[in-house]
Amino acid sequence: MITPGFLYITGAILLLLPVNDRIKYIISFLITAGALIVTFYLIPGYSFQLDFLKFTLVPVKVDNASKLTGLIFAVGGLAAVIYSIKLCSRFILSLIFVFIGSALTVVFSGDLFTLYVFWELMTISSSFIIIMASDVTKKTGYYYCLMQVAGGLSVLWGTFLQYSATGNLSLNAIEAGIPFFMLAVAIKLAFVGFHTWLPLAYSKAPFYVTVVLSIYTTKVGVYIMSILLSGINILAYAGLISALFGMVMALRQNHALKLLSYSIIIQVGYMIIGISIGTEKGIAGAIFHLVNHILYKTVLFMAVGVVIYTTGKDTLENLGIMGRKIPVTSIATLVAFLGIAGVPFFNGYMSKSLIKEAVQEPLLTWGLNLMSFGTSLIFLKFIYYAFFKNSNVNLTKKPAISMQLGLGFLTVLMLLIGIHPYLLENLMNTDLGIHYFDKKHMLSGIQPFLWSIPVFLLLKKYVVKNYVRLLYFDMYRKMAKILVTTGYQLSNYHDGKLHKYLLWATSTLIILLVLLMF
Amino acid sequence: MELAYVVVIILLSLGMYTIITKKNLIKIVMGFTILESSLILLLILVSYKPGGAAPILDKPYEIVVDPIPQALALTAIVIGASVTAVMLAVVIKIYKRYGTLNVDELRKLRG
Amino acid sequence: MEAAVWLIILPLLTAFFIGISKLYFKKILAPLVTGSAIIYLYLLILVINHSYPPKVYNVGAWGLMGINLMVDPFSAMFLLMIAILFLPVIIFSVKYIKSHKHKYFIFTYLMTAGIAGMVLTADLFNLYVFLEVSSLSSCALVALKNTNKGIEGTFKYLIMSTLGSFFILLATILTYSLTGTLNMAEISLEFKDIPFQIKSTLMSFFVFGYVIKIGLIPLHAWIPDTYEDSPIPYNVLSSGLVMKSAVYALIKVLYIIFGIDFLDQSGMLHIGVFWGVITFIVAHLLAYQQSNLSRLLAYSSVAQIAYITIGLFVGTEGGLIAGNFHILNHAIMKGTLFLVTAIFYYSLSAVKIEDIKGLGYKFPILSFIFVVASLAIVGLPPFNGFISKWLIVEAAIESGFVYAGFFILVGTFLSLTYYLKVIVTLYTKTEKELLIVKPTLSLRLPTIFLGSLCILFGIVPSIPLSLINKIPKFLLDNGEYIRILLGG
Repeated sequence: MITPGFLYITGAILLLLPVNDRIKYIISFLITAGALIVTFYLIPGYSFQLDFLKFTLVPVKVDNASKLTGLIFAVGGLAAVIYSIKLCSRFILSLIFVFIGSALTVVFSGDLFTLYVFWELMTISSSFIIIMASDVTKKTGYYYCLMQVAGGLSVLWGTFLQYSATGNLSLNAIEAGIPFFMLAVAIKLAFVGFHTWLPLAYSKAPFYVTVVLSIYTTKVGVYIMSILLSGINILAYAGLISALFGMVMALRQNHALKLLSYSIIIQVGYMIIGISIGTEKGIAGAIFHLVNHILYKTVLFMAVGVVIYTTGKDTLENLGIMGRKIPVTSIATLVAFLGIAGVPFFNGYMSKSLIKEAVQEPLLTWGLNLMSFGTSLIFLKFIYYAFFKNSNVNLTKKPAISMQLGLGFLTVLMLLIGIHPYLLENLMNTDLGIHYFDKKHMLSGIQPFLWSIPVFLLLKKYVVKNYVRLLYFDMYRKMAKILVTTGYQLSNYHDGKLHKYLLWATSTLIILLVLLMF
Repeated sequence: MELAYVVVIILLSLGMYTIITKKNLIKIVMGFTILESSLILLLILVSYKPGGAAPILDKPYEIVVDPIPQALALTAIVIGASVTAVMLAVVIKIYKRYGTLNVDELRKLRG
Repeated sequence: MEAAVWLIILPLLTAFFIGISKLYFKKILAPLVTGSAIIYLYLLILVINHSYPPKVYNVGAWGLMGINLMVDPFSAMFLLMIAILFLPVIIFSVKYIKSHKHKYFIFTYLMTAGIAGMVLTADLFNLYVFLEVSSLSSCALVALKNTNKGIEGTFKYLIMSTLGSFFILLATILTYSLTGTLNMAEISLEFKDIPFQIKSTLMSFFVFGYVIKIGLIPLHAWIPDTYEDSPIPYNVLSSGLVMKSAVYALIKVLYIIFGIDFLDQSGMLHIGVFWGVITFIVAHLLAYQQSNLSRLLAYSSVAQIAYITIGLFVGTEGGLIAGNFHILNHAIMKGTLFLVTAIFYYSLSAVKIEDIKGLGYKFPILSFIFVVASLAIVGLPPFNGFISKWLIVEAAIESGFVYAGFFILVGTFLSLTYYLKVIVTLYTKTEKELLIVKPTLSLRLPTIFLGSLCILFGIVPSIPLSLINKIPKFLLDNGEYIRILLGG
């Protein structure tokens, strides 16, 4: 049985062969497009079993939510591969294929073993993408890999607890495993406190890598959360706090990639809230938001990528190039902006309304409004730099056609979903009974956006300002330092004196005798 | 009989003591030799039977000592001798290179 | 069926003929050693194929009084390990070793004879003799490079290992004086009537002696010292076979002679698991501090042996399977890592971690293999180390050692910290001009072979597991083993 993940991994192996550029393009296109088609024709309810060791694994299990997520992943894969194909080497491309393939397999996995294996494979491939992609990302890749593996190991421990308690590996979290799954998901989602890797990795890595990473890394976390941890109401507040934190941090950034990274934290906040509500609408809203978010955030990352490609840097000043020289990118950015701000008839609107509809508690509703407001504010700043501020940055080279192709493809999809939001419901085979374009939703959807414009104009000198970079406190580096110091001291005990070693040996013998005899 | 076992224990402790406390490489090797001899003595004691004849069955004896430990003792002596030889060879090399027999100065390997 | 006897005789004979060839025909060294290794491989496969049901060979037709060799699945697994490692290492060494070539091969073959003997014998004293043969020749191999550090390492190794052997011999003699026999099966039967206290004293001597050779903390200090400046292909055999053969002897003595029930009563199982946990945590922390690549790998070996110990001391069927699988996997993974390190040393005398900077771009395939093997040894999927670690943790949790399972995952994380450090260095570009001697095919081929096994056993673990699954039957129920040994 051909699954999209399997296709991608085959593609990765094919790309390892020494082929020339033409064949590289052909293979990449065939694989990505093929995966999209295969995903489209997967039938919900299909599953496939495999015996491995003494377990019965379910490497493929399709249902409505996973099909939709898989589809958007495949779409993102197609666009991202087209976008970056000119820029990255064959080996990196092959790693990207492994990454996308394992993300797709995680989405369709039907048991914890497959989930863990491909979750970890995602980590490994993405870490190596970061490490190999450029000279300045070695330390970042190290940090990223350790954080992600810590998350992966807590999935593994949750799996073990689950397996020892129930004796099977099915995808549902039991009481004992929940804290560990939570930890894993929190790291993947860049939850506040566990978020340190995200801005670091996404801003340091080359932009085409960031585009690929931003599509999958956090979104896989969201999808897994919707399966394993849905309906834990308390997490909604946690999501809100995380989002507010992301908002504050995003407003302070001067670099476009960092700004976008922190804005991911906000958008993931929406999904956490949706999933934590746990109702059908909430989860559907979260999945739809995942789809929409992949679309517009990828477009924004791609647009910033074009700016970096053409001008060399990603400071907000350089965004000024958009208004004048690169029309396709500018249009795409505008569409993505309206989408992320939640303006009706653009794609972010539908999922935000759905989540808002699902939320019952007033506090959370206010929180959602505040988040929308903040998002608009952040991206007004972005747009302000891109189109309204005078800048004198010049084009050093033209954007590649392939980049614009990837960008354009996603923009068209965004417009489609924005105008016809029922498309996603149809794809997921559900009818949530919500009228997106009635008065109530339109009003509540547009309000935060409208409010943000006068606020932006009033507070412009505070918002549009070069903030000093915060030297923030990183708990994990402190912990690592403690470990390394301990190791150093231990290592100092081994000072080469034979007598010391012999003494250790004799005391061991005595301890052993005492322990065994009594 | 019991006295012989006491001797074994004394030799054993003496050997261990030498190995653990002495700084001189040669003395450490000597410690191992002492340990080795305590074991060989133990082997002989294990096979010993009061009044037993040597296990060469040229005529029917009443009591014969157990032959196996004696064979083992021979093997143990051979192994002990070869270990000592290797150790001394290494000690010579060390003396040539480090110019000392003090074990505390063998500290190039650490960490 | 005499193949089992030839497993011990052939390497001894080869060692002898290498000595002669040094005197008279210097040219034939390479064909001699490779040819002998190939015949040896054939013999090994022959014996492994006939390992189930277990077979007993009486040497010299003396019945139970004489020397018995026994091939059961447990020893067959070790023979399989020799089969996997020995020929690649020999082919590798023919090109790699430049000085004292003859001595190197003589000692390697002697060492292999010792290990094969340890694995096959069913007699406690022979076990000791073969152990001495292998550890003495292993000591000689450490000294082969004839450098200050090498000699110092040899001395420390020799002292510690002789101390261990001494206690093993002591325990063997005491066992004989208590039971009047050296045959493992008969000892095991006689042991039923010996008082608890005496048995546990004996056991602690055995455990102490063998653990020195295995190198659990705090008896590990000699391991990194010996690895630091010895011929690197020897390190492959040392970490893969010499240390493992001590594990084999320990497990055989504990499970066959003392029996699982006694281990449980005396608390040895708990001690073993706890000891393992402490060991790998400390070893991982120490490994992070190393700047010398071989030393780093040595500490990692200590940690991996600790995982094996946990697996074997959990005391269930799953634990034994997991531990044995990890023994095999560790031999392969560490072998791969050492061989790649050896090629780096051969090509540009890289010793320190910073010396290998930028080699990822010069040796793409070898570096890829290095990465695969290190991820495997860390225990990340989809490589073989992951499968065996999964089995170990599962077995530990199943039998109530939940803390051990948890710490194994912590240990996985800790081991990633230093392996990733090495990998990142490997792929960091450097300004320095590198003078590289191109490694020949005979260096690369064994490395690639072992590296591909890492992937193969990760994806299709059922190949080795079909053999390993038969092991626990004869270890957990020593009655079965005794019946076969006495009945044969």
